[in-house]
Amino acid sequence: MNAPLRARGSAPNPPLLEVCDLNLEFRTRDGAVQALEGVNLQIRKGEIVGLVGESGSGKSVLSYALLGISDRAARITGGEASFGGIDLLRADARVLAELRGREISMVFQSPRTALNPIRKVGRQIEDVLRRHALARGSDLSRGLREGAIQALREVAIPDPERRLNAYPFELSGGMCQRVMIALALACRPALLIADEPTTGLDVTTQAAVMDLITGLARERQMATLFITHDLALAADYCDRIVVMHAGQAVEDAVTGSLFAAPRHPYTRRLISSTPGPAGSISSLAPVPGNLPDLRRTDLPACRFAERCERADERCRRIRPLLGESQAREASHRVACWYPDAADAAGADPVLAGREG
Amino acid sequence: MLRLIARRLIAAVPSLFGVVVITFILTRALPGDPAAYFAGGAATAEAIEQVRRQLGLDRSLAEQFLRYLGDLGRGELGLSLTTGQPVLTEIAQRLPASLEIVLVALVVACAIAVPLGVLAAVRQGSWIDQVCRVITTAGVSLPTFFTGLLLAYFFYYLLGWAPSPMGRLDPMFSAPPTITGFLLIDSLIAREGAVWWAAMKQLSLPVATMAIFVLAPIARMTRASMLGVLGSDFIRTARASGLTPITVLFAYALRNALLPVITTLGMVFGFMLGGSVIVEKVFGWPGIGSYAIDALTASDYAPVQGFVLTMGVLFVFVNLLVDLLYLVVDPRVSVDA
Amino acid sequence: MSAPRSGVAHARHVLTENPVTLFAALLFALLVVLAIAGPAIVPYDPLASNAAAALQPPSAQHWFGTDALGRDMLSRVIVATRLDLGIALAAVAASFVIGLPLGLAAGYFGGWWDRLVTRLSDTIMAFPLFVLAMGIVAALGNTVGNIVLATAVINLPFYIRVARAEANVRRGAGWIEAARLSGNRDLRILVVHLLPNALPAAAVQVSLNMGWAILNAAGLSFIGLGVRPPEAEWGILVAEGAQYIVSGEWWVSLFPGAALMLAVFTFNLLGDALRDLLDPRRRT
Repeated sequence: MNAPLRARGSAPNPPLLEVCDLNLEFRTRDGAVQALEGVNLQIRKGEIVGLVGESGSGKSVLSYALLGISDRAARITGGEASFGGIDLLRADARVLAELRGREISMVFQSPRTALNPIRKVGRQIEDVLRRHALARGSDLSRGLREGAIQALREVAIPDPERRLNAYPFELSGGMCQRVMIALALACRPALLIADEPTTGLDVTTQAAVMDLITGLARERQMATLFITHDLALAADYCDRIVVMHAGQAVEDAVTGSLFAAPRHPYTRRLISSTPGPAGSISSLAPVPGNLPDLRRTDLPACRFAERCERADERCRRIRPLLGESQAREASHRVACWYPDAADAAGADPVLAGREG
Repeated sequence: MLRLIARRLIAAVPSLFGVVVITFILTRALPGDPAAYFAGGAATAEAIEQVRRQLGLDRSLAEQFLRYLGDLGRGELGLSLTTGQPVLTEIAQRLPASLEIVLVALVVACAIAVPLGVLAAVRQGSWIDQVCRVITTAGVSLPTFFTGLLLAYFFYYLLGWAPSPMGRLDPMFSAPPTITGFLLIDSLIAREGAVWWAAMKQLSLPVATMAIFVLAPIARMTRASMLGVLGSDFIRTARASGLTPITVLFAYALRNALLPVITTLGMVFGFMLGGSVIVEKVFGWPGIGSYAIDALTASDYAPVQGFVLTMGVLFVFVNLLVDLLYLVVDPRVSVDA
Repeated sequence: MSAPRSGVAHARHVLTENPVTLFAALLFALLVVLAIAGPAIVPYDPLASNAAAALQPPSAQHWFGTDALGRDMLSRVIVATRLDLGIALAAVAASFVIGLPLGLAAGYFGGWWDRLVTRLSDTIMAFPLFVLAMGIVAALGNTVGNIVLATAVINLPFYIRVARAEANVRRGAGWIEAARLSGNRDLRILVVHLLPNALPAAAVQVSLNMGWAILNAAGLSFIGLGVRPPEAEWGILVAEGAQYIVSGEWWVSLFPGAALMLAVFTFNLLGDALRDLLDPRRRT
């Protein structure tokens, strides 16, 4: 199934997923909403990348576009996205359908509504296995059932044989999320996209679910894109973090480096508005202003310009690109004309102390 | 599960009671003096009084009601003045004819409206969606008797495809022995293919009229339900898992979308029962609707009251059946709410 | 976001945005004109029979043809407008006037009052409504007044439901508690506060019900209840023409039937337009 990856210079671990300069808009009655602009993203095999940003920053939109399940009003207006050599944006529908669930899988938030409410969870997993023809053994139905039990077992669901026949409403939120993960990982995908998988779960369950996902990811060397608005959570579990703002990717760095020396003014603000165990509520500082209205035709080139204290004419007219920086770390990229210095202080020491 | 079924059954009792109370009120609301009516035109004042005592009309209303309940329990619905037959017998004889139209029309209507609604939802904005919209808007405005007459004009008079709209069976054929009362079933049991076909032909126009009448609510409900389901989270998950569009449509979307449609069917059945009266009049169909109309015009009230009671009871039972069906089909309802 | 438009401007917007709505409004105006002025503007006397001109197809002298008694169908269809609309209007008005307060009270007071009203509404709905109307007319006597009464009764549940829902929403929001605590008497709250809030939804219901009430009244007349010949009412006109349609004289039933359809259609469209107009959530 894996087509040969494009050779990329001397990089030992070429990217599994590569997104270049992706532009996406929604056609609405009030005009076009520029949901994504010039987004760059790479994920390598086995890497856990966090995609963070406020609600409405385009994180989910990006993931839907990659999977090909965007809303009907969505239009890709530029850029590329390739996975294992396959062009995700232009490939034949059948090729993409083969990929979905098999090589690229997705886990959604609100697991109870994301599962078919009147279909037994075992049947739902079997549907995926059957679709990708991954049942073992000559007896198809037995094979499917075994496969489903195995999938449930791998996500640490106790008594999987009995749980096969459960309906989503009979399971707790945390259990439903495990089922979703089982569904997504049943075919051993190479890339897992987890869209806010812990929203709505209590803190203990959150940790359990995140441990499960990252544990399986490490075990299987599975690339993971972890979408969240919770910076602290991303700090705990991700190797690398990409920060998004209003449809633009503004900073891309290894976790430790991001927190030790955040370079984009937005990232800096985001970090200081995130509660950490050592800080106090009064030390939190919110990010000023709101996300710009993406329907505007007069958006500044750098979409953070109107919320940024150091923005000038250049920021408004020319979009800063996610370039390489001369940071200590191998890759710490920032899209800003006036980024903070590479070794600037002022980052949250507690968060910076965490390693990805 | 049994407990839920029992609960539904018990919930139907107040409705049944309400039906009986209303029909009782209707029987006592006759114009003029009911005793004089029952005694007949040429009765003397004495005879009328006798009838009054006999029928218990001189007792209190509460006592009369209890008597009424007792009569109903014994199946005593009175006698038809015009035919002299017990109303219950006549209704029982004619009920299958009415039900045959209603049931066949329901099947036909669903067979057309459900796929139409599904297609309209899946292909939102397409020509099929427009057709669906037109049907749902027009369907609600068409008077049943008008549709029936127009159909008779086009398909019988102009095109000659349909047989003369006069009853259940062409006089050329003799009816098969009555087992269920449904000609379509009885003729199959008696292995009389020609009769089956003749009965089907006679059914075609009344069924078409009735089906057109209810296409609108069924199609509209299916479309709305399907649209709602198609936009839901679990469909997104199904697509993200790479499931084929066919699987997503049938195993995931349709099954979930049809649940609310089932509950609509109960309401639809009510419309059909009401509409069947008119359809029977237009096509000279010997069902309970035409029975009631004939009795009405002859000022023969007992059959009318029996008719109203039967329709009410029937409707309550149909709604109960729909409720129970829903109970069986939707696994979420098994949880003791 | 544009600022909310004034009522008149919004009305004009709704009317012109969708040509169908404008069409419906014009048809409605036509119906009203015919209902009021009908008998004065018809070319022939709707009751004047003329055996020599019986069952003539549409022609220059008789646009809608003539019936079995030689009466001009155009005139009969036009004068029937008054009766049909009148019956429907009276029935719907009665339902409105009785059902709305009942529903408001049920939602407002709750408790056994609510149970009683709901039981009444449910009992009416336990019957196929047309059948119940038949039963009522049969029991009370075969007159036009009883047609109105029967149609009013079977429409009650709709108004009860709409009013009760509105009152319940307000009750749930603690709205009523607040009003009571500030010293308002129950009646005042009901009339001054709850009623106006229930009116928009009820108005939409009225328009939709009118169409249905017309169909009901026509249906009852078709089977011989209420209106008697030689009165002109669309349902009875169709009934009079029914026996001739199977022998080819289609015009006797077609025109009254078409008039019926148009009238019902008009009210349904108006109901949709009214919903767009009055539902504040839909305003641009």
